[in-house]
Amino acid sequence: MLVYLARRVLTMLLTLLVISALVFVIIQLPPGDYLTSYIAQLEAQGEIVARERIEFLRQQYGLDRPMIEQYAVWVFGLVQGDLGYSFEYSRPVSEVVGDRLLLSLVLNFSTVLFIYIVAFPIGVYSATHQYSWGDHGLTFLGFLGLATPNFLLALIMMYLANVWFGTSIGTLMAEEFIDQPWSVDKAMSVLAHLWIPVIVIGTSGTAGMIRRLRANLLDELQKQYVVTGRAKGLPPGRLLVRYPLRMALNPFVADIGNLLPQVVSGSVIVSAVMSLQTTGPMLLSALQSQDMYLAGSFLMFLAVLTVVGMFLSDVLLAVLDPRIRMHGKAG
Amino acid sequence: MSVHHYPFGAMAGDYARATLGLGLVGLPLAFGETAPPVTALLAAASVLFVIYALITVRRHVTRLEITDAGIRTLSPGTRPGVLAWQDIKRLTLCHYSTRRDRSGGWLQLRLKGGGGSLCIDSRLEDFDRIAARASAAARCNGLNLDHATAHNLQRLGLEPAADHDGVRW
Repeated sequence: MLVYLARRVLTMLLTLLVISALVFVIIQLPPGDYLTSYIAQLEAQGEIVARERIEFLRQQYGLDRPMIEQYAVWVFGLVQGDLGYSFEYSRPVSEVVGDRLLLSLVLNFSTVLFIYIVAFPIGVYSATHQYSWGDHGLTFLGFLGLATPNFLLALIMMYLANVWFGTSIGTLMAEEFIDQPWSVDKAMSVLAHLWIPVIVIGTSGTAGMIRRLRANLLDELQKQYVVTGRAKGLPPGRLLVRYPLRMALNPFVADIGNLLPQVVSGSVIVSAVMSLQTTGPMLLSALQSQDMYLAGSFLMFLAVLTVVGMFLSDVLLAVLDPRIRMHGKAG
Repeated sequence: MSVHHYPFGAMAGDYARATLGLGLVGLPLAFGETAPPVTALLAAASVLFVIYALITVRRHVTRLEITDAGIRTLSPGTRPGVLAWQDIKRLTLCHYSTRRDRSGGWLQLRLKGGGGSLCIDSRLEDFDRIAARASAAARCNGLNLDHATAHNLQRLGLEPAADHDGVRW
């Protein structure tokens, strides 16, 4: 297992290295750089910027250096905990992002937790009570969740939360706590506001997960070993938990890796709609203005989250189910 | 009696991976001023790669003697370990792969009993024969095998007979 862990960690590190190169190249792909956009913006407002000043700024920000050199400086900075400098805010990226990375992490982790806590019992119930009224009702809700766009659900939930529960709309905490140091009251305020975005972002993932667990469990329940177990007089609950449920859990666990990117990308749009203080809205703005170090840091954070999710899912799967796959031939 | 070892060709990948891993996490630690959380992560990864390198070296220098009585492991600097076939109390055969579709990868055979344990992987010469001999011993000893082990033995062409509560040889 230790050998597996070491090999998997190495794969993760190499993946992150490749992602960092791709992120950097993609951010640089649009013509021009941050200064070009900035100058175009100033000229649109009727201001004239001296050529010497432009060259000075380009030199100051290191934009005149070759791309590979800029990339190397950025990556070594990242490894040392230096996220770079935001051109747009004229401050280090770490100061600009403030609590946003932490809040994004809390939001995404809570959403994944919500998806698993809700999807697991409903998926098991739907499979064990196939074609019952409960199964039909939950299936209908599941399809509704899959079909409703997140931003629409966000608008509906914001309205309902305000009218029914009196929760302030459009933030992840009460206004008096924004940009304030962390305290128990601030954490409680975040928790009180968290449930709306968690439900909004998590609904489609929950619906998908319910469908997958139901389908997997139904497949297992129809296999001969379950019939044999029933014929031998095993109690239904024990039979379900010990055999088919364990087998049906594999795809459920493997989905952690697929779920995180889905949750993260879903949360960007929802955060923009709900004005949440997460990385989403700031990432969009940084990409528009080509603020490359700010955008790059956010994208790397999302990449780390995804790659770590995949790593956890793979390790859990290796522990739970160390079987040779049909197409796999061990070397 | 037959003697088996891990050929260098089979271990070269592990040496390369351990070196690359140590380089990737060790260089920033050695030459840069890293932030405390990053330092902790890099240090943990470094420890993991050092252990990986040590396991690789140990495997490479180990020789296994298979006799009718059992398995004897010979590593330089350590006392020979002996595991008699009749003392085997537990057998697990796991498959690991770092690919998303779980293709390729390697098998790990773990034997326990007689106060000792032994772990070998499928890159060992004649692994299939050793696995067959170990499974025959498990059958003689009447061991219960978990589902994954039974499935993997089946894939190697060593058919276990199943009952509903685990698989009994």
